[in-house]
Amino acid sequence: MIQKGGHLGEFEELVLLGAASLVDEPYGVSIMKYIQSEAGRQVNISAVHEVLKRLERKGYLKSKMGGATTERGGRRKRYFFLTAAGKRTLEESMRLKLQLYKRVPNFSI
Amino acid sequence: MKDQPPKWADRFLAWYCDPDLLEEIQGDAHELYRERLRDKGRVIATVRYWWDVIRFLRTSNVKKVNAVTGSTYLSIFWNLDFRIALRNAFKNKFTFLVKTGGLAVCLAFTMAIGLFVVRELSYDRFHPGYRDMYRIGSMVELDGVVTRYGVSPFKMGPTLATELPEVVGYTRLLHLSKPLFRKDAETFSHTRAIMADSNFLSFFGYRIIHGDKTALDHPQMAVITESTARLFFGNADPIGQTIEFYRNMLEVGAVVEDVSQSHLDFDVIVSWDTFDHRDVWENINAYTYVRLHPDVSPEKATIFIADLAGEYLANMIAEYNAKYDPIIQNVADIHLGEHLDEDIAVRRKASNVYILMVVMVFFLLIGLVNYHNIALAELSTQARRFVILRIFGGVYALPSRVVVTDAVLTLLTVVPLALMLMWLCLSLTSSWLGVSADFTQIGPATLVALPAGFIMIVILSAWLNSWVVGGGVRKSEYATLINTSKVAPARKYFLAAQLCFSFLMLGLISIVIDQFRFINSYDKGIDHANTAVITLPNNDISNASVLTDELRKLSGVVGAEVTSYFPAGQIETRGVFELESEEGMKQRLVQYLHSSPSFFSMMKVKVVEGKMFEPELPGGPRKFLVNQTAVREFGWKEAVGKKIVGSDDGREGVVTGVVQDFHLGTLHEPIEPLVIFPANEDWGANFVYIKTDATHAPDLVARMEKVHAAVYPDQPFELNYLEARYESLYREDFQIQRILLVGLVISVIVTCLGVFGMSALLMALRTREMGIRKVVGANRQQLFYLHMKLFLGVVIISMVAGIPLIYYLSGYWLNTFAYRIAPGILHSVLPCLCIIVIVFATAGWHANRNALVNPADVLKYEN
Repeated sequence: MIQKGGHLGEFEELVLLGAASLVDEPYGVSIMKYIQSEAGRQVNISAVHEVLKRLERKGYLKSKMGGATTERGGRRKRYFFLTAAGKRTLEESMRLKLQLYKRVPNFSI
Repeated sequence: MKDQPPKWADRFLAWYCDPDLLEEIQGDAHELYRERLRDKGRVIATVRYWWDVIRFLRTSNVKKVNAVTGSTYLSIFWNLDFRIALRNAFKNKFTFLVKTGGLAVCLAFTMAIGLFVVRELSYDRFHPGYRDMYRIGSMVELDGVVTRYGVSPFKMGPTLATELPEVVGYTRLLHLSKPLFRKDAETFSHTRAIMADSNFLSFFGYRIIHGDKTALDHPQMAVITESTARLFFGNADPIGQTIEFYRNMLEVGAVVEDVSQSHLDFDVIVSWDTFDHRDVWENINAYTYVRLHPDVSPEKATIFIADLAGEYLANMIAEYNAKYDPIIQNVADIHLGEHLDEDIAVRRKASNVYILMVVMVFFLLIGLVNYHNIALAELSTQARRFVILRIFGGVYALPSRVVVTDAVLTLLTVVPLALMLMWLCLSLTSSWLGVSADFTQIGPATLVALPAGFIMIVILSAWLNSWVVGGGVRKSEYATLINTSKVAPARKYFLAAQLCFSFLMLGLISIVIDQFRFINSYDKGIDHANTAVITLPNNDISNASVLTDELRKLSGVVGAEVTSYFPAGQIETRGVFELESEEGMKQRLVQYLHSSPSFFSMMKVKVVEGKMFEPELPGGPRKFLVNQTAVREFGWKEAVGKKIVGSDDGREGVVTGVVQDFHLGTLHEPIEPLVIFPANEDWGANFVYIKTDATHAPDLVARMEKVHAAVYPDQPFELNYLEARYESLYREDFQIQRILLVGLVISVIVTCLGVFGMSALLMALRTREMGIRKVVGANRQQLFYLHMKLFLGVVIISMVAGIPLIYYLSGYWLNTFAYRIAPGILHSVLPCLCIIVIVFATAGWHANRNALVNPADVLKYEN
């Protein structure tokens, strides 16, 4: 069971999924663009940063520095990779949702 | 260089951001900037960049406390201390609420009253050089009876200015009673008017909006206030317009700001020369103001003025065998000053203002006491917290710092809360309490309150801190802190002070209510019920008689009579009469009244000796009545048959009867001797009293108006009700009562909260002790009693202190009444019972909880 404080918020889940999907370069800007293209939501970069930090605190992501470019003035990016706990949480959350959705009559999932 | 992101935004970001996070944040921001520059253009990219930088400004990104170099600007608010204080507040929400809530409410109430008191104390200070401006009144002694007046001789002002070098300026004014202004078809009867000398506007500081000071130089000129201008002329320019005043056309020469905070309350000033005046020394009907030279003290000036007055009034003094002395009052002292006869000043009893000041101080103290009581108790339960903080927080979690930051947090919460509460209450209750708040004073009030409050709280917290922790949590003090059976005396006295205050309020309220009941039930000797009063425009008795005759014919009207007196409607009530006595005819200044013969029977005033006078025959001896006090004061054993001579007409008359004492004014004033004589052509009638059936047809007022219009076609019809009038005379006392009521409610709430909070904390401290006692064999009642013991001791202390205070303070207010109740035992017993109930309800709840505690639960863990 996920302990108290461990449940994923809606936006948190979105960001976590983004970080999990982007295998090569999961960092702030790329996740933000991913959400924009896939979910159609305009989000501010600071919000994404905040959620990434929170997810790391919760233990679902682990971060590493790397990937400096000239565009960024030589500054590195902070990559966030999915941890085992994070993977488990995502899977469980999805499972629970499907379970509940199946119980609703006339839903075509 | 051109595709660099905006320099200042970047610098701002670099300045506030935590260096560990700066690289990735700035990197992402730059990357986005470049993209937007490519896709959307420079402007959008710049704007969005700034927006991102602003959005990045969150607590988690901001610089943390640097252990080596000390805190930076931004982090002062977010360092460990403040977070600890916030965390503590949220953890113990109830305690925090009680602490700050109690303080905020008390502060709000104090500030509200403070605004009012400050306003009352600063009447007439806006006149430039008000410290040298004085009003001269008159003290007249006639046959051993002294009367103090607000008026002075007509000629005094100009004479003083010319003959005394100490007097550098003067002005005079006259009161205009029943002023009636007419513009075209409209009549204005509610305006207050005075007649003033041409130098009035230069003497006083009333602000002129249009026109200038010369506006009163010529006859037939008027100066009006802003709202009066709007009333008379709408939005048109008032200067140069005319308005009719008793068959005079007055031209408006200037407009002044509406008068507030001044002892003179007027809407219109009419220039002095519009009417002819009997400009002699013997005419003592003007209000004289002088400006003294700054080096002259008022006492010295009084001597000079007295000498001068003595010279000019020598004839009159000799004729009446009287004494005359001037009374000198600084203009700023008139509003709260002594009561003078024939005074048009707007006055308030000084004692009421002082009562309010005392209430204010008490409330502030109670709020602070409540706060610190609970804070003190709270700190004691958290000795462990300090130890742990010390270990983990190092230098940032010094207990002293914690206490101070606690104080800052409290201040930040309390002051805005209090200001909000105060503003809310003032807007809601300004009419109910009769307190008009000058909102422009809130600015300076806040500026004073904030630093004062901060200093107070910090000082007291520092004191608390040193008391509690003393520079480090030493073992012995730690022991004291958790020593539960001995409660520090300071705490006890704090709580006692709170209870005492509530006790006081309860006692005072009960006395005030009792006194009001007394006033209502007191037999005033006259029947005020169902009486309507019409003010007559002139003294003409024949018109008045026609009116009363017509009114009596209306069904529903029981009687209609004329008289010269209406509570607080007449200024002049005293005249000089010659009275028969052992030593012959003696002169005396006595209150008088003239009315139609059936007036007294209509108003149910009993004739206790002799009989009522019948309608007078012209040329016959004048008939007089006196009241019982007069008989006593004049030293008459048998009143009927005694001779009285009226001063103005010299006609001799006899007393035909004695009426029962009845109250002309409020119960504040003692009944004075009264001479009554019939209204006739010389002494006309000023008011018509109409007694109606208790249940009369609703159109009675309309019918009365028709009758009135037939006799006085040009006059507006205005009906006053006698009972309402009497009530309005007690206006100030009602205000006091209401303020005390509010104070009572607040103090009871705060006290309940305080006792409850204290009790809660005490219980938290003593659960283990109770558990052990229970195991050893104490039963519920004993545990209950143990918890209550502390509070009962406090209650007794507060009662012992409170009872004498109740009698002392209530004495101030009661002594303003000539007829009053004596505060009795009941007034102490009732508050005692209330306090005991409060303490039992609040502390008892915890005592009960404590008594029911399960030893197994509380003894499971080591402290």
